[in-house]
Amino acid sequence: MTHPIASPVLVEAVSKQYPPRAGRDPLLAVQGVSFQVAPGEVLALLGPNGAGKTTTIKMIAGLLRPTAGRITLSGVDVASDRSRAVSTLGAVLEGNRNLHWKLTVRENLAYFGALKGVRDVRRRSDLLVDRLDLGSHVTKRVGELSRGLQQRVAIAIALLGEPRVLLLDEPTLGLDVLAGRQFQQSVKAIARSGAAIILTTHQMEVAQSLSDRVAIIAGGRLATLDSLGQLLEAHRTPGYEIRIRGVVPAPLLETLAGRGVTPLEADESGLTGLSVPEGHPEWLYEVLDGLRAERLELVRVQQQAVDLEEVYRRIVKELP
Amino acid sequence: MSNLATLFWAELRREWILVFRYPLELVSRLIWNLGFALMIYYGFNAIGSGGGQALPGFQDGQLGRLLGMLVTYIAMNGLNNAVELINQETQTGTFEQAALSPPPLWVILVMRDLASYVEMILRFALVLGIATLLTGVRFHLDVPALFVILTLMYLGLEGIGLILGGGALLYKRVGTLTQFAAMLVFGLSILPLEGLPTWMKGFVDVFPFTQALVLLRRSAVSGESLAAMATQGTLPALALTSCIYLAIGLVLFARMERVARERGTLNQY
Repeated sequence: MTHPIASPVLVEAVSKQYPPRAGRDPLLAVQGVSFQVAPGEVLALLGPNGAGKTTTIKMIAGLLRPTAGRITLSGVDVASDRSRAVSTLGAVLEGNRNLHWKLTVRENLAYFGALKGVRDVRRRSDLLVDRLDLGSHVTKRVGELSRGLQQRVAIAIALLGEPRVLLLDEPTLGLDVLAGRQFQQSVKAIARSGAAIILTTHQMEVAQSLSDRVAIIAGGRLATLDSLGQLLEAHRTPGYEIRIRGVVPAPLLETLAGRGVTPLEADESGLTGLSVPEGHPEWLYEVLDGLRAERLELVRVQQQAVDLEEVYRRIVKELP
Repeated sequence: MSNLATLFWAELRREWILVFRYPLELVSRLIWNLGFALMIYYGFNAIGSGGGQALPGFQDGQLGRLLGMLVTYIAMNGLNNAVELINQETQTGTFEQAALSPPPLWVILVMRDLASYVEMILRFALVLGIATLLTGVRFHLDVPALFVILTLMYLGLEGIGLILGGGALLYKRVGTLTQFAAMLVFGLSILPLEGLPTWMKGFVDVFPFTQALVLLRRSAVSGESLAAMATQGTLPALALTSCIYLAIGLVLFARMERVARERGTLNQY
């Protein structure tokens, strides 16, 4: 049954238990997961390896049947009417592996267009080739293309049927910086066109750049589901971050601890640091004076910001 | 219906592109097929001239050998195609893209097999032509009869292929089973059907491969027409048997596809 105003993706209390196999116990991969995705929204589905992300994505795509619960795509139940439900869906699940490498880009588009029942495949292909900047590669075999280009071809194929839902499972895996950036721009454009997008990735900067909402799944359960802005705000620690070269001596640390100053982990450049709470500007000067007295090189002082990676780490760490 | 035609055309086009994109592979296949045909032909001729009798399965002589080769090879492909496609595409990753497309998997597989069948028939017409030139065998060739009989047989064996393909979705390694089926077909093409035990005779009487083999010999040796076969009931019998095999294959494959989607084995390899 199609609802008058149906959500592009509605996942209701979905669970998946894999049956026992070859001496292994049954595996409860997903437990009572619920969420929905609105048109034009990008939902990042994050979680550690084996958390249940790919199982959830595959259930949405109809590749796996849930043990319990219900998934509808634009109001159509995936379990009971898979063909009709997935007609509104595009997916890049295994990236470049989903393509026929011996066929050219154009031939892949024509082939998968027919498979998806796309009318006027040629016109639609031309449009996507243009949009994804694949014009100079259409007559090349997919196997000859770089990974970034192959990924773009995979997206073009996923978009052939003008899907209302796009599933992207680890779409930037193995892409270089430029290809990754181009890919992100493509995804943003697709979202602007109104498609609901579900993205799984281990690259937090990609998730932060693309997503409107974030769902963190761990042990098969949904641990968090919130907008990106609210998540970042909720985990923001008001204060200042001081980065220095060298090690802060223990006596100084002990002295500053009375001011609520805490040491920070070394960043990617190997700089150590201190966190100074907000609200007492004079404490910041006291810390700086202490560092100067120890002749430690000050690299930067900035207002403390939290990124999605930090939020993710905190949430996953707190989980049982 | 138009969707099926579009899908079939897309599969045929893909098959065609791949055949001609790799010319060395095409030539190798032709040489292999021709070599197989000539090996069967001269091999059994040698058995005959060596004082032994020609094997009863080839009692129609030289023509029987060539036809036996043709039908056997096509039958083996009909049995293997679905399993090969599933195994190959789960490894390359394209199977998942097919599995999340709107048409049911069995539709896609049957269209692929039919496209592969068309390519195979054309290749065999060429091989048969060259083989007859080289061996000097001449025979009456009723092309429509040959096509109808082979197609009906292929559809029947496609049913068995789908069951094996469904097995591949669930259990992955079904190589021994497909080899057994292929050997069964090969065995039936050379064994004297008349000398089989009763229980086995009952099986071969309702096996599309053996039914088709008998009809092809009648068409090629005696010049029996399709109309005559239809009147005698032999052609409808083949059609009915094939339809039953295909229907059983489709039902079981659809069931196994559903179970594979439940167990999560669809795209594993």
